[in-house]
Amino acid sequence: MRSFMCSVSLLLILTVCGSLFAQESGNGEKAPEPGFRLSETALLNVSFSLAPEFESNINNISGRSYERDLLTGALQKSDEIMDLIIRMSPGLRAKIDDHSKTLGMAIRLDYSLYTGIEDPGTLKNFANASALHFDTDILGEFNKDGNVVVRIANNLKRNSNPDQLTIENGLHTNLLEDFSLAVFIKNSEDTLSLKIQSGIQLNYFEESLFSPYNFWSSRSNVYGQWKFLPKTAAFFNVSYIYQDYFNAGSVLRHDQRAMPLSVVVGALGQLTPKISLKLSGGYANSLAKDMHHDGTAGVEFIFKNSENTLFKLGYVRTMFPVAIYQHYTQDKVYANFTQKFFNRLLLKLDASYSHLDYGKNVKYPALINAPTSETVNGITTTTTVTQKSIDREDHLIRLEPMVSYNFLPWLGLALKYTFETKQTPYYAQVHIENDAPAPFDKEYRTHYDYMDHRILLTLAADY
Amino acid sequence: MGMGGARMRKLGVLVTILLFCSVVMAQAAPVQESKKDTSTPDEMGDEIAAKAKRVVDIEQATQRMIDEATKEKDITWKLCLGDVLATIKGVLASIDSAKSRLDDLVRAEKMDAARTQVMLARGLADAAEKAFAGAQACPRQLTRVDNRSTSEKEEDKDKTGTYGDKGGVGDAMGQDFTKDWATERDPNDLGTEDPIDGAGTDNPGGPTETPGDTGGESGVIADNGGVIAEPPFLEPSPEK
Repeated sequence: MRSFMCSVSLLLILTVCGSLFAQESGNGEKAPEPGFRLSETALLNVSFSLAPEFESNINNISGRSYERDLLTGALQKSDEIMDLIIRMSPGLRAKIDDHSKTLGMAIRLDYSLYTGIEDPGTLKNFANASALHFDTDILGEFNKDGNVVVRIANNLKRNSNPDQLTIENGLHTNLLEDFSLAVFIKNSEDTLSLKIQSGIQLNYFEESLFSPYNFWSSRSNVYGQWKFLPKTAAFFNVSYIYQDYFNAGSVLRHDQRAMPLSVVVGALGQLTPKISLKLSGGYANSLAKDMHHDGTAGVEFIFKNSENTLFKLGYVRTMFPVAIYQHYTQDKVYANFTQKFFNRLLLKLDASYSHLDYGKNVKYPALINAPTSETVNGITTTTTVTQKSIDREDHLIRLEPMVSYNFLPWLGLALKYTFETKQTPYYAQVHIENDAPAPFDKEYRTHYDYMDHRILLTLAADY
Repeated sequence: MGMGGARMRKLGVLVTILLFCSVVMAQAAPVQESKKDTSTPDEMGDEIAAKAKRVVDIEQATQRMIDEATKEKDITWKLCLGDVLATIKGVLASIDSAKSRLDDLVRAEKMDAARTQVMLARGLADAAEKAFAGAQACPRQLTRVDNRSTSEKEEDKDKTGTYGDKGGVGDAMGQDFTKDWATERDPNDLGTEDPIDGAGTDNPGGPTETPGDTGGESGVIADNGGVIAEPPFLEPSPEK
């Protein structure tokens, strides 16, 4: 609690300082570009953010999940756990940038202190050295002023909220390494462009329980673009992803391997000075155990009024690989609204609805799956997995209003509220029993719907 | 080169006229000048030195422009600037000559003739200023590099544009709408120019949202809740 009070005090002090600083420099003069210029081409930026966050359901638990002892009849339901988390993120980025090349690196550390206001266990389990996450980037761009540009990028990060669709609710620390090499070929007028990119990702879960879902993937794509009118372009994109779960058993590894191929064509750009549009459509095929043909599509409408108002409304349909189900198809409708006031105050509202439709479950293909038995020290344990349905679909709703005040171009304060809920009829049930002298007979049911509220106050400095 | 050559000829004529006028005035008006100009020898020396310093500054600025043109491989621009630099160097040599003559005339106590040299230096300095102003209008090729070393295509800028700049596809799609706001910046964003300027359509996978400060990041499924079901049941407490 003391650390929380210290953090709030620090926030207030910095806020007041920022206000005073803003008054001194707010004479309408254009602020200099943030960063320390080390030479004519070298720039160093430093950042720091301090963000107390209240979260109502830190592990995205469904209140309908339970554990039942079939011998005694005792029922233990899952409880959502709320907490106040202090997040601190110092960062550094540096680049050497001239007309022919860019060499850059960035590193950000994230430490989340779970204060354990409802369950002291969160403080014990999450607020330790293992909660130190990071995000690093290395970038090299060469021959930028030529017609053939080469870009090499590498991202390595450790976090508990994987970007990729993964396997369980909640916080599970993972390492993600992402390397890519891209070659851009352009004509002198910049109207025709071709990009050939290939990369490798490696995702590694630190919890051994999830090791079967560690994967490596190869991601390649060829992209072509023709800028046929001012601010307007037509494009095509062909991409292929190969995702292999190398720690899974041989059968499961083979069955859940995913290889989505997609071909997309489209056009985007400005229709009128205030209205822009993006249209795309294509074909996708999951070349996995179960071949799945699908269509992909994207529509995005943008209204932009001067430099102060931006409204975006869109729909996308995509297909990506995922463990167990081989692939999933996502239909997403989203809307974003951003309004600037006085070049200092910012209001934002992001809202989205997603429908996730999964492929066939290759690990548990039936409603009631065949029991599996394991004998250890003469005691046989039998496990039976059942599930609500074979075809799984989820519905995700997210609403995120935000207000921020930027005292300076490099110093600001933001208050954000996020409401997120997943609704799904799907559940999985595991029945475990053994024949030990002290018998064990329990039933675990996991629902995957949840509701989460988050309130985040962020002081962000990025100079 | 046609326009540049014509401009150089005009400058040459202008310098010649100025020199001629200066000499004529210096010969015709010694009596008149002696009545009006009462500068001391030190003041005259200082004035010529100041004029010479100004012309040296102009010469260096022109040389820097030539260096930039060389770096840009802009032959048209470099040739035009080369002509200007030659003119300025000639002017500077004349001013130096006037300064040395001034010293001799002062020592010989020929004050009227000394003042003539000062007037000559004034005219020469004006000619250098005009030549430098003309250098600013030297024609350039398409490619220009500004002081941040960002390549831009001048003539086709409206047609093509670049990411984050006015006129680009990314700009039309609202990309980086709030990039100048501290609370909106990604601390790991190195802020490099996107060579494709395709508003995120060039990523692996299917159609994506336009990346930026609103909406999702293309190529990242950040809003899926990170969940699919995978029995067996896991303890729902945060215990690991």
